[in-house]
Amino acid sequence: MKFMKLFQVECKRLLQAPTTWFFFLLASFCPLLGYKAISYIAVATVTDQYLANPFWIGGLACSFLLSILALYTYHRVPKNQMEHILYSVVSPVKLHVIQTFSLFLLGWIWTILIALIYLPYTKTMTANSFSLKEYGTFFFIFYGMTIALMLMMTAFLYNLTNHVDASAIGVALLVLLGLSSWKQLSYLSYLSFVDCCFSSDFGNDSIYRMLSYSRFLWLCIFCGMWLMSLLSIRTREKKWLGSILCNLCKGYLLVPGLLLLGAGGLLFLKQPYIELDGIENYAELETYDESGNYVESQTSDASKNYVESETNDTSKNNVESQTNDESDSNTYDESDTVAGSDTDHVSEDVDTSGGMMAYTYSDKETSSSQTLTHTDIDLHFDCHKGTMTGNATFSLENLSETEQECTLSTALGCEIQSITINDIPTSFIKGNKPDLYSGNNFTFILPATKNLTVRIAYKQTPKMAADGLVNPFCEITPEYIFPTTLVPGFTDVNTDSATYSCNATLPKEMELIVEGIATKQKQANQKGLASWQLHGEGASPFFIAGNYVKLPIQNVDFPVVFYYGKNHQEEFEKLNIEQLLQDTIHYCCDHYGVLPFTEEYPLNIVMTSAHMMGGAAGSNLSYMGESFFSSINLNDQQRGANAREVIAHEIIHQWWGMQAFIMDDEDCCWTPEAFTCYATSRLMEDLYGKSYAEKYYVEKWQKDYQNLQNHFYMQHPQYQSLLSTFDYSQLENLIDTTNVYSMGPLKLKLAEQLVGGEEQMDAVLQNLFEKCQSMELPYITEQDFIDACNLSETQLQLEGENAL
Amino acid sequence: MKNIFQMELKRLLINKLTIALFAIVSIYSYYIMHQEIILGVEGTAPYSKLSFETYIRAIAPLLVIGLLLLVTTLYSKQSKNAKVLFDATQMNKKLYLCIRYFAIILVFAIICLEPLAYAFVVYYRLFHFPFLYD
Repeated sequence: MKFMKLFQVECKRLLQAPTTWFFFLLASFCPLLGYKAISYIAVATVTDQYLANPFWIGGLACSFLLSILALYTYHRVPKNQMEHILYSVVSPVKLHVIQTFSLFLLGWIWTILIALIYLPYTKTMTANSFSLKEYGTFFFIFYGMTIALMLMMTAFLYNLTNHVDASAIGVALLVLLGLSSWKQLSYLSYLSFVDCCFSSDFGNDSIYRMLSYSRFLWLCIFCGMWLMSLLSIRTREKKWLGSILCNLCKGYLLVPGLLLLGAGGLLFLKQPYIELDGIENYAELETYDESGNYVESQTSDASKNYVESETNDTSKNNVESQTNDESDSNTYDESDTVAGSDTDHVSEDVDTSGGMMAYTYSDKETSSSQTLTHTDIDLHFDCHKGTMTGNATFSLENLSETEQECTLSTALGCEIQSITINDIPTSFIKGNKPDLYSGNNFTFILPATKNLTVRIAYKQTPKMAADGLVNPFCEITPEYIFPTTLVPGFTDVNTDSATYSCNATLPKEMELIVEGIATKQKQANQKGLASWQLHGEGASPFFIAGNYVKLPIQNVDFPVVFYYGKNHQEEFEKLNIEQLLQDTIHYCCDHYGVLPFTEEYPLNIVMTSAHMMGGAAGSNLSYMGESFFSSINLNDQQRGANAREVIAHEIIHQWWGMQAFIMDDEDCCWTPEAFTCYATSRLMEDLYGKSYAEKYYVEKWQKDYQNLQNHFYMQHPQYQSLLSTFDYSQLENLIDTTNVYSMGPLKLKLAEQLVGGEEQMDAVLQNLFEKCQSMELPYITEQDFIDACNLSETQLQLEGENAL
Repeated sequence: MKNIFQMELKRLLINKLTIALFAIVSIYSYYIMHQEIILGVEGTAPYSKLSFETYIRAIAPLLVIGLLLLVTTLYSKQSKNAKVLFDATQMNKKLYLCIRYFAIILVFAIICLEPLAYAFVVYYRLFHFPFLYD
């Protein structure tokens, strides 16, 4: 019989079997578990609640049930002792292939039916956020591709073992393995998920790209394994090995199997979404010629020697200031006259517990002999591919008029294609990464000419750091652009008086929000694109773009603009979020002082995609993940200090964290969070009364602090050394979080009592804030605070603090 | 009767399903112990009632699945083939079935003891059984 005829017969049999529809019934109920019972991801947005969580669980369960059905189907023939009759009609290999293809088709029929069953409910619940394209994509990846993977996996195991029980155990083991931690490469697990929330406002293309890649990769591998396993199908009454030897001549199975395995392996090794080069691993030094082509490769040892020999007569301070001490082999300077400068560079204070992330700009004095005067930038975003191509022209002055070595720092995933100096192509060296979150540094020589024009062509595909989290918050998608860095930056060039002009081509629906003092102008272009002309101060711009609604906040002491996703417009108008922002700004202006924002330099409060956990602030940008603004969080009264108050918290960081920085070299837990948490509680006291603030803030801090003190490993520190590195880092994280978010504000609360009450405390804080604004204090240390309160260190110690 | 029980028990114990189950339960116990329990649940000691209860609660579903798989051996192809022979003997069929059930229960109990034994080993090595003299 012909293949297609047999295929039709098998499909018909499967579709008519009651077992098939019993399994389908079970599979169709599985997404219900994801609505309430099982929560695999942090449910923060409606997309998480009604799409990601239910259908990820549903897809996994559906695939598992299909695997069981597949084993039952494969085993039907030997179980009923029909093999002798059946194999006289059709070969065992052909029968197995037909069964597998029929099951695959059945799996897709199940997928379509389940998608149709849940479509009306999902559409109703996700309302404005619903997109049929996204719904289809989700089902394709989490149902269709997972079903294909699990089916191949099951068929492979059955062919190998020829036993249902052993295959079932094998499938269960592989599922457990797929769901376990894959450390840095967790997105490449065949059942992988992501660590971040799904966005309802700004699309999830970056997640789908990654997961499609990982599923496709594993499909290649499992298809290859399955094809190879067809060789082991028992034939001529032989055992496993004998059957393989008999079937080895079947090149049409062997060759494609090997090719698919090779392709899968190659895709695994060349995965494009995570930068695996760490600071511990000295990457090879790659040298490029004038046209940007790769020339030679030096070993890590060579690179080390190179550095040592070259840095003998150089300013080592520069190396240290630029590269976090031990990091890079290339960021050094040959000239004795050059000292470090990182005026334009950003030091990042990342809070891992979902609070604020403040970008602070250091104002170190620079005496570099190279000065950047102007940068012309041309940026083009290919939102469908998720890439950015750029051409930057730097106007530099080489005051030393001697040859100078220059280093360009790049973002993760940025590749420099060519460098020309005064229209002459120049060679450059690709060096190591200074840290886990930065891209490679590129080094080249500046000629001994005063006025230089350096042109750099580069391409960027945002990548994630190899920190074990699948959290693509830097992304370029058709709905949203959040780049890490737009232009590679010079690490040792004076940029104090630099200006920039930038032409960025974006989809025309996007609103562009630029950081710093800048002007922007939008011009409609062809093919649904728009050109944005930006002019501003600094070496290069930084902007966020997306489908935003712009809301200027009225009746406040300085200009504030709030940008949020279009899907939230109706909801926000109902929640009167403008009032919350007005209340917060009024409170802080009255109690601490007015912020120095102007019409040309307004404070921009920006909603970012849910992929970015927590919030952040930098210059005149204060941005927060979409999850803070979701109706789930905003309406959750049970949580006390709810997301509405987290919004207020992030706004208060404009005062404590941005304008007045809090830091202490001797106490890493002395951070802006203490002041911000305290100020948030005081604001809530003003808005909702003293008992509310006591219940949801002070009591919570006390409880967290008490819990940490009573924690087993705090009570028995001798056991801490017995913990593994992973467990110990988790414990450290718990201690840090409690110290920063609970112990810090509790200290301020204690100080409030000691100085005589809230009014006196407000005066102390206002005084400290003014000192920071007038630059009398570069930042507030714990001692500054103690002195301002006129207290002693011992008075401010909490009970049991020394033990932590 | 004793011989039949011993034979049934031996047959189940050296069954590849039992061995595989034992291996899976061991791996899973290790995973749960080191991922969730060793740091203590809600600040309590890793050997507290709450932590131990969490550990048992995490292992239990796997053990139930294991029990189901063990029960399937009653209805395996080999069992059905052997049934023809047993049916021909004069042995009490209900008693024989009870013996088989009992053997399965015993094997299941042995598998259940594995995560418990592992937890006791960890507690002994790290904390020297402190709960014994709490």
